[in-house]
Amino acid sequence: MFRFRLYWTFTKKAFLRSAVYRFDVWSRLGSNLIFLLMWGSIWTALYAGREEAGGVSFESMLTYIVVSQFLTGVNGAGTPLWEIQEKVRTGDISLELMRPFDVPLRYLFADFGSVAFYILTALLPLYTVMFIFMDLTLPSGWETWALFIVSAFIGFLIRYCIEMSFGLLSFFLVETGGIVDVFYFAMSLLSGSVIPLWFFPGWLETMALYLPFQGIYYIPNAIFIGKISGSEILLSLGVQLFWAVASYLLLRFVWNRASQKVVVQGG
Amino acid sequence: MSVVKYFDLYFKLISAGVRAQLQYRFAFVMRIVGLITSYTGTAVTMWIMLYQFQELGSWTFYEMLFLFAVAVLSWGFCIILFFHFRGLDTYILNGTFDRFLVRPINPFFHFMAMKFDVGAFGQFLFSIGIFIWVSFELQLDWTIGKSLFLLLSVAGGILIQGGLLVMISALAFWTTKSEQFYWVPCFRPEI
Repeated sequence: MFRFRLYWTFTKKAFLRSAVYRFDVWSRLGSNLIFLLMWGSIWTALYAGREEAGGVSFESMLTYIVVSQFLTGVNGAGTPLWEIQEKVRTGDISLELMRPFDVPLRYLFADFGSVAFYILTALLPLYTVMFIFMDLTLPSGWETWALFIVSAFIGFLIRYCIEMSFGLLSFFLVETGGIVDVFYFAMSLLSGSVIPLWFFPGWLETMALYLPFQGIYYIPNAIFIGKISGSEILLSLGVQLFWAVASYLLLRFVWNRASQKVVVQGG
Repeated sequence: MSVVKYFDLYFKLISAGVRAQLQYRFAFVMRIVGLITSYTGTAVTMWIMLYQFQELGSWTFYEMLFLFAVAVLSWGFCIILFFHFRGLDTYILNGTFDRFLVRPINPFFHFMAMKFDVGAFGQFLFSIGIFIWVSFELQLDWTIGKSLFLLLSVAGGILIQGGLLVMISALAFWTTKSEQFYWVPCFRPEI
């Protein structure tokens, strides 16, 4: 049985906790802005005054990067991966295992709280101002807005499940350094967070379209700027849903194996 | 104490540090592998970006790669010499910084010599590999003047980045917390 009220408490607590560490929010916003500035300048230089490239106008491309950076902020505001790994390494995770809740869900709901705080106090005001003062394209109808929000939310779930599964690898490996680096590289590139998939070489684009990462940034961004439109949106959302379920099952599988390992070793 | 003695002492201190790190062989190798992978990742991202556009403000892919290798090399040295200053605020907060003050050597020097991160070896391997590759691709002819210029610009990069790191860490003497300010120089995801 799903006890919503129990997990909701974690959301509320995480929200309040973020409110205490306000400086943290500001510094995170600062680095988000620096990255936005960097990618914005890079794309401005790449377009080099051209009106459009690859069938996408400069204005849409800039919007893509701004939205992508917004979503990067959203996805980065939860519990960091190293914190989970540190808990596994020190054994603190056993304390969580003893308590009457499901650990992956508990962290997901806690993330909802800290992400909500970050969006409300930092991301939303900043990006609203940016959309007012910059030449960016906004979705025409409210349906697109709604579909974008749904898509971004599913993307968040996919990212959470995959990242958490990776974090739990530290149950099995002493040192995860290299693997984590490969993982983050694959995620930042193949998700289309900084380069949209349509600029990829053909073979790589095909590969990226068969992987779950595209659901994290590429699909919501492309819906926002209208690159994916009409019935294609529903298809994309279907693909996202499929990957959300698949990555959730992966997380369940890894979690079961990991917690068994702890139990076997005398828990 | 003379400068020569300081040099001697520096090598003694860091060789102890290096031996301590080499105790964990596997972690050491994994760190180097991880560093090389993430830098290669950035290079691949650059390649894909320039796949369609060919050039970024008249810079081609190989020229960008060269520039990137210079940045990685100076950052690698900077990590070796200065990156542990990041932990300075913890020393100040816990009062353990006193142990650097009571010894008869310069406290800045002592703190600097405390750690020598051999993991940054990954940065050398990466950037030297890139230098060789790009030299062949662009048929660079390395004159003495050019080599000297490269060395000096790397040295300049180390001092500028190192200076920033130390400056930000030193804020901890007033605020007791400086970790949060680190995003200013460390805007790159890789360490």
